Amino acid sequence: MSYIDDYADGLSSLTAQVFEDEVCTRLEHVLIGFQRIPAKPQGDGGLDGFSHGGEHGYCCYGPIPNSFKKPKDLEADIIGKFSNDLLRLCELFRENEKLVCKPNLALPKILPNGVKLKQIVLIANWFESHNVIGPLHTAFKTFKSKSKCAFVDSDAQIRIIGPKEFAQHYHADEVAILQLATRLVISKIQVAAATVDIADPKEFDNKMAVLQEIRPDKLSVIEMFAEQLRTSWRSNLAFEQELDSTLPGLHQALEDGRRRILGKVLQRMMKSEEPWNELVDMAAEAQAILKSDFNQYGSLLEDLSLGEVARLIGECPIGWEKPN
Amino acid sequence: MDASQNPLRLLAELLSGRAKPVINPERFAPSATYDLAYRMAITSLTFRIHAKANGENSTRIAADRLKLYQFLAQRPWLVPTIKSWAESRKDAQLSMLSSDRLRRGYLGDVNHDNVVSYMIARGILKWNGNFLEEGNNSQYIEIIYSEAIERKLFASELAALDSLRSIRITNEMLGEP
Repeated sequence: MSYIDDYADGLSSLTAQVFEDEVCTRLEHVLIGFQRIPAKPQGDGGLDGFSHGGEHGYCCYGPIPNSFKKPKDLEADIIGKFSNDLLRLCELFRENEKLVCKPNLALPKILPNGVKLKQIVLIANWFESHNVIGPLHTAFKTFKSKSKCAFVDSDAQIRIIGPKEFAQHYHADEVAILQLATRLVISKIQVAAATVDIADPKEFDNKMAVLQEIRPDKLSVIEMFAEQLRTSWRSNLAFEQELDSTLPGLHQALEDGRRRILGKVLQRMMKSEEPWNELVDMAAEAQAILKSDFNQYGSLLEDLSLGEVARLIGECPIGWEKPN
Repeated sequence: MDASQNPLRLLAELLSGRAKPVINPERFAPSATYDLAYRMAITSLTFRIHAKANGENSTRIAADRLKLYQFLAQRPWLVPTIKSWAESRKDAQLSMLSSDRLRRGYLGDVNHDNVVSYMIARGILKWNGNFLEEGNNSQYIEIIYSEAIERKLFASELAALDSLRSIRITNEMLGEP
């Protein structure tokens, strides 16, 4: 399989914000001056990014293909989403089947002064039907004819592309594939963490119950942070499960890292006169240890490290009891 | 991490001066994946359930098949993945998507190779070309199987192995000629 096919396969499996993030990250790598546009809190004005000083615009859409019963439903969804983006760029909205002008308040603050879009690239995670091409080009032509064209040039063109065309046009190479693979793993872990079960949460729950007995004045706080630790623990378990299933070599590195973390944690707590104060630095210590093998999973590391300490509490090495 | 949002800082504050620490390093269980006895047990169960008679008063199984099946037995959550891979064999594109990560996982399971080498050294298994068959000490396999059934051990692993009976995994999927 070529780099192009490899990258396109990976990109087509991304959806929603993760898809947009990957597309924008790739464009930042290959287009000098590519400008990403944050959607929150003020809105993106219908654009996810621009380049060429504002003359080229980019809109992304990553629906979940399996959520549509028929291909034509997916086609209609893609046409609908991109039509809405183009409407906003043309400063129009639909009212009783008619197109009415409506100022786009975000675009003047996004595009450089006096610059108009000349090309708009519509990037979808699925492009296996020509049925989306005609309707979108027709719609854009209509929109331009009704628009005041303040931000879109009257000769502007659109181009619809899917994962394969994106990989071909924006030079997917081995570095891009590696980055994409990491993003896929992170995204998979985040989804899995929401549903993964902690095999035996009894010990952890018992410890939290003892803590509530010790500090009855802080019940809600304890409940809140216990949930935070459980969430991190679940991420940690999902990460372990993913490595165990697909990357056994890295799973062994995780196991070694865990052993080193346990050693450090116990060493710190046993020799300290204030053992509880040692807890504060434990997550940072765990993160430093995991970083040596898992640096590529940067955004996950913090959660994994905290989850590792939660696991040590839940699986017994670290505990507490009421003083006599 | 922002110190004010660090749940461990909060935990430390709640416990400080009010709770007695209890440290139990011996109660920390490492992953079973690196436990030789566990791995030998699962490999034996896989062999016992999926090896076929080879016509010479013995049973045998292709080494690649044993490697995949024991991998799945330890990871029952992957059984639906292998099922969809098997079912999507007619669709090359879909088949590639569903098999890629699983293939990488089980082929990278070098611990299994070491476990098999150890079981061969113990005479439990022996090589016959690309197949593994019963060795002179193969009674170990029967003992493990009987104990597992009688004492209801390895329930999830046995269930996964049983569910693999109804999935058609071809030699081509295993990468065999």
